Amino acid sequence: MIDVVAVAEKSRYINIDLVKAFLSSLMHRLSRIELSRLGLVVYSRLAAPVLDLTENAASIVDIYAKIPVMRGIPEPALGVYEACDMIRELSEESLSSRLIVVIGSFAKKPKNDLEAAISYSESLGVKTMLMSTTPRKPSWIPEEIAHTVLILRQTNIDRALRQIL
Amino acid sequence: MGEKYNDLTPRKIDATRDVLAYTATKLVDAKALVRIGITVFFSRAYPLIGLTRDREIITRSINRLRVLGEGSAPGDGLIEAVKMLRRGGGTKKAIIVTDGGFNEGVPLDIAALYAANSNVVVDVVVLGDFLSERDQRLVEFTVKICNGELFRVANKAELIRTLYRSSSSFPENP
Repeated sequence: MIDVVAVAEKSRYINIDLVKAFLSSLMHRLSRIELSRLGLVVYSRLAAPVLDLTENAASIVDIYAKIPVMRGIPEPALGVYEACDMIRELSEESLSSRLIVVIGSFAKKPKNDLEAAISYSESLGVKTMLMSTTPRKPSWIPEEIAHTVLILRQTNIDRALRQIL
Repeated sequence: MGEKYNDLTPRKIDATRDVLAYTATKLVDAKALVRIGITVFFSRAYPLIGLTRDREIITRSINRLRVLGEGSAPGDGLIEAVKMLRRGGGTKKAIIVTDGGFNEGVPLDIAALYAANSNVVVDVVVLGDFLSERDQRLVEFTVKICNGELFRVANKAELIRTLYRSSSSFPENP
């Protein structure tokens, strides 16, 4: 049993094809795990839920594709808070695993403190993983959470998924 | 051609408050399976009342409605409404009452995708006869993907009729 909320950036900084490939692999992998559910939050300057946790997330890639590119500096912390809200409302604490996966460019330093958002998710018993579509580790990410950042490429999606699930 | 009688002015919020209080209580009286919740939006959005059938709470809360601030974030308002509905079963409907001027928050089309994915039907009631081209596009997209309807109202009587019509799809008493 696992609940996963994907927090995907949709801005002009993100590699959209890479996000779509990752979401597709994540959805297929979860579909093979009994009672697993997947939800989707999108973010740029603002964050919004677009798909509540569901066992049938087959349309997740289409849903992400339909989201218009949003303006502004991406704020991954807002996405994490929105995902926490979804998990608090819809997920049972007794579940064996609850996970937030942030897929972002992390290209620009955001205003909102990402470390604080991750710390909040941990307080709920939810693990947060960061997937970067930018080839280099972002310099602004604090040392304390830098180790959770995984650089995503078309060639390492399966390995990344094995690592987080 | 004569102008339509308009009693939504000078303050649309007052007219809307009167009509909402009237129709919401009538609806609760007429349909035993209906619960009503209200979210308000300006540059932000928050729930005013959670889903309830309590007439007194509904009228008291609606009567407290006032102008809360500048700006208009209907996307945030719709997201709050969908969140309110997300644990419930049965028919789910959100009715956005607005006079346009969308300039804040999550774009309405993104919130509409969330509503559609959550099986929430969304109707939009536009007060007055002016919407910018952009706002018009957003509300048309919203009602289209959320299987809803777009209404334009010019006065209180039309607003009452529209809210009745919008709620006609709710289940009848068992």
